[in-house]
Amino acid sequence: MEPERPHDFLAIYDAYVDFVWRTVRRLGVEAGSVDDDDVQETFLVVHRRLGESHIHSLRGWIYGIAISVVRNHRRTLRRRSPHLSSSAQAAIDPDDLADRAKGPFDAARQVEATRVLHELLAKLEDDKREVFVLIELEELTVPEVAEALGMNPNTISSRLRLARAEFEEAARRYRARDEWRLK
Amino acid sequence: MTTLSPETRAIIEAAGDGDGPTADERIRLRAALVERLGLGMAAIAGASVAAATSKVAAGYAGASAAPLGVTGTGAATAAGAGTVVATKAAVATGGVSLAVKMAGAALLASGLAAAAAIIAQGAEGTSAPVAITTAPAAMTAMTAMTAMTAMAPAIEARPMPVAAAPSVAVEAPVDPAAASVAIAVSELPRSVAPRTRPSAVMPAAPPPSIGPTPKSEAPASPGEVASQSALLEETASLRHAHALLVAGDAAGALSLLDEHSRAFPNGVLVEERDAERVAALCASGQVQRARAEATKFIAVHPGSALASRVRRTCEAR
Repeated sequence: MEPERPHDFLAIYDAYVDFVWRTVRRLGVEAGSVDDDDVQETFLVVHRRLGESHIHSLRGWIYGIAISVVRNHRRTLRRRSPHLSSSAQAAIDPDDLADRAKGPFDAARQVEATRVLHELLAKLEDDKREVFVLIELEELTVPEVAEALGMNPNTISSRLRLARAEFEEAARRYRARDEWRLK
Repeated sequence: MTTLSPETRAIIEAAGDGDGPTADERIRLRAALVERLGLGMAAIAGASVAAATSKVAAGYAGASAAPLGVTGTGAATAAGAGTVVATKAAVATGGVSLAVKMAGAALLASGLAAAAAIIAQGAEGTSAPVAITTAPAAMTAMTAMTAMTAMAPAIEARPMPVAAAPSVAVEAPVDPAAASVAIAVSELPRSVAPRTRPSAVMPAAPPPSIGPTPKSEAPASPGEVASQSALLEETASLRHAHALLVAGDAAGALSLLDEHSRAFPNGVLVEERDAERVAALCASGQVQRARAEATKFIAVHPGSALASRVRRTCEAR
């Protein structure tokens, strides 16, 4: 790949911006102040490192970069306010939803669904959330994730197993609460 | 390796691309990157190539991202060129993506129907006698609904992924859950969905299911069953307290809530219970205590969806 040709980079941007955007938001749920600057930051790093020769899965590689950007952001936030509430959510505005052609009714429904997803993801620890988002939501494979995170596939598998169990439990509790609320 | 249950999977599906960027955001960020990286002229020259390559790239960007990815990409690339043609292209792409989106919406809707079934299954998972007792409770809850809105109850009746069209209520197999969904519809943002009176929706709900309903999943483990019945007990107790409060027996509600605190110190519904207590204190005229509890609530559950409700509970007094 010739990183000096800007349209290569922009082609990558066009192909991956949605992926990075979603991922950054989902990984950052717990920070409560997901910053869309993280998306830009990710692509700046992608641009800088595009010449690296060891890229096997572009998707996995880009995800690895997004993760480290989000991790950095999180560290900064935690230093600033160590008592960060794990359930603090950035409000989602229906107008910010990707798909406005659906109309206000569906948009409102999707905002709620997205909020629920964030609430559940926020219950996972950082390392489990990373693996879970990547595999369950973005449908990457275990080897791809192992490469993205520079880790052993076995570790990824066991993390995924724990993450699934925890997410299931969180979802079960959510359903129970919801049932109560609605009567 | 175990996979996620269909119910949980439905939660993920319902969120769909809710975390993705809008077309505007996509274009704005692209322009910002072009500017920051000094890609200006070259970007315009390469725009058409980019359009072609990006479609290929989107192909392996994952099946879920693909449909919107491709159309969205076209719009973003075109705008990058910054010409009149770009606007036209964006409009044209808009037409295409609308079709894709409509297909997506259809998928979403079916996902929601599945989600409605989840709630139903939740109720189903309980033993039969409990199901019977919950059914009338649901009925009274529905008549109480009007009173509740007037009283500014501590419960956040908020729309959930399942809160779809009345058709969902029809599809939901078990009564209490179906009734819940019906209420949820009436509680959707008012500007969007006109308030439906529960009575109008109720007849659509099938009669309560008494016998066990066949389940597609594997039977729950003993531990799971135990925790589920504890949860049911916890829910029933809180529901009882709430019913007393709605009926005007604030003192009775308070003593039940205290009992609830003792029985389920680390329960699933701690937030709901604490919010309910604020409302009950307020209703019984103990405004000072209510305010103190409200302050405590906000300190303990700062991110709670009930926080703003709790904050407002005693304001009128």
